[in-house]
Amino acid sequence: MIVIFGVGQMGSHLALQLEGEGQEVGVIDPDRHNLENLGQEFKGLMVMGLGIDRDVLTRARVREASCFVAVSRDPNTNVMAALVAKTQLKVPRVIARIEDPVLVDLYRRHGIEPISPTADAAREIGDMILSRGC
Amino acid sequence: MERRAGGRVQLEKDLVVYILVVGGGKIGYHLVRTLLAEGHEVSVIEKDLRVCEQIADHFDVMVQTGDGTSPRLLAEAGCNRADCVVSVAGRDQDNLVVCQIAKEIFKVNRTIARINDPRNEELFRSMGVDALINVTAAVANMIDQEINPKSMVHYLTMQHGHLIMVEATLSADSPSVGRAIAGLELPPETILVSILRQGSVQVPTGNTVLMEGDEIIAVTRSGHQTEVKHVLIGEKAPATR
Repeated sequence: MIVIFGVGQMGSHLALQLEGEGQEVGVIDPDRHNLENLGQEFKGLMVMGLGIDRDVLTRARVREASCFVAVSRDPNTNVMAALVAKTQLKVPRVIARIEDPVLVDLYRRHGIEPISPTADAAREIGDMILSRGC
Repeated sequence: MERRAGGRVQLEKDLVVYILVVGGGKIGYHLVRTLLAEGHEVSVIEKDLRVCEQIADHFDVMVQTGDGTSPRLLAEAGCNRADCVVSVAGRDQDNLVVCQIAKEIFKVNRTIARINDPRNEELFRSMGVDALINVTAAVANMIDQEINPKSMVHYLTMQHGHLIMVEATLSADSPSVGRAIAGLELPPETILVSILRQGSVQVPTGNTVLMEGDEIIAVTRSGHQTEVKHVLIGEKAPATR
């Protein structure tokens, strides 16, 4: 079981991709529209709420999950959701979308696997431009 | 300070410390006032420009506008030399991140966070936040005060600091009305921080004579709040939380 908090564009892609590969996936989002959009294709468990709320996480069966992924647009909410999942609900793998490089280092030390999609994409685009000369 | 000389204030002989406050809402505002009254150096980070301007107009403190969870802004605000960081923003997740940055990156000795959801207390403590300001408990006390206007509010509880900020409104029959603060038999380690009188805020001195209708904010050691209340408004407090 993999639980994803935040199903905007990135989280939706991830949920559908993992489900398509045969994984059991649950999602959490405070925004009804995000859930409705995803729900047109997604078959898994959907919970409306904020990922920092233990009761919401429990309803989304995060306690049974092997992996929790917090990819909402709000880095601090991702961080706190990841800490709750890691330290209180004992999820083995926890991934969080964090953009600030200082916070990336800080929370890596807390056992969270950080991802920085905006920074990564910017770097990739920069490399793409520079590799062919400008 | 005048208030110390004239009043019954016997605060500990603290050195001046530098306290960085993140979040300038109502709690932040009163906190700044209290800390300045105790003679500390204070600066504030707040994201709302208008709130920043209000604080800068009222107090002689450095105010920075921006995201207090940004390590860069915290560095600019002198977080590395802060003795204490108090994060009283509206969202628990922001307060947690501020305190963790302060503690783990800037090696701040003491971090204090506001929490709105009491269920977050365990996580905050396990993440090394030194003290918590539990807003929900404070609101519960405010509701009590609405029911019984003579009761006193624990406006702010700093659990590990053992300091309590209390609020009292004087009525015509309050024993302190018509008396100067210096003459009141307040318990030790008590300071009257501000008086809201006829819509304007006053910083009291030992000579200030209390009047009916004064809304007083005081800071005292935990355990002394009943006595403070007794001196200011007479009746015994209901059981405190």
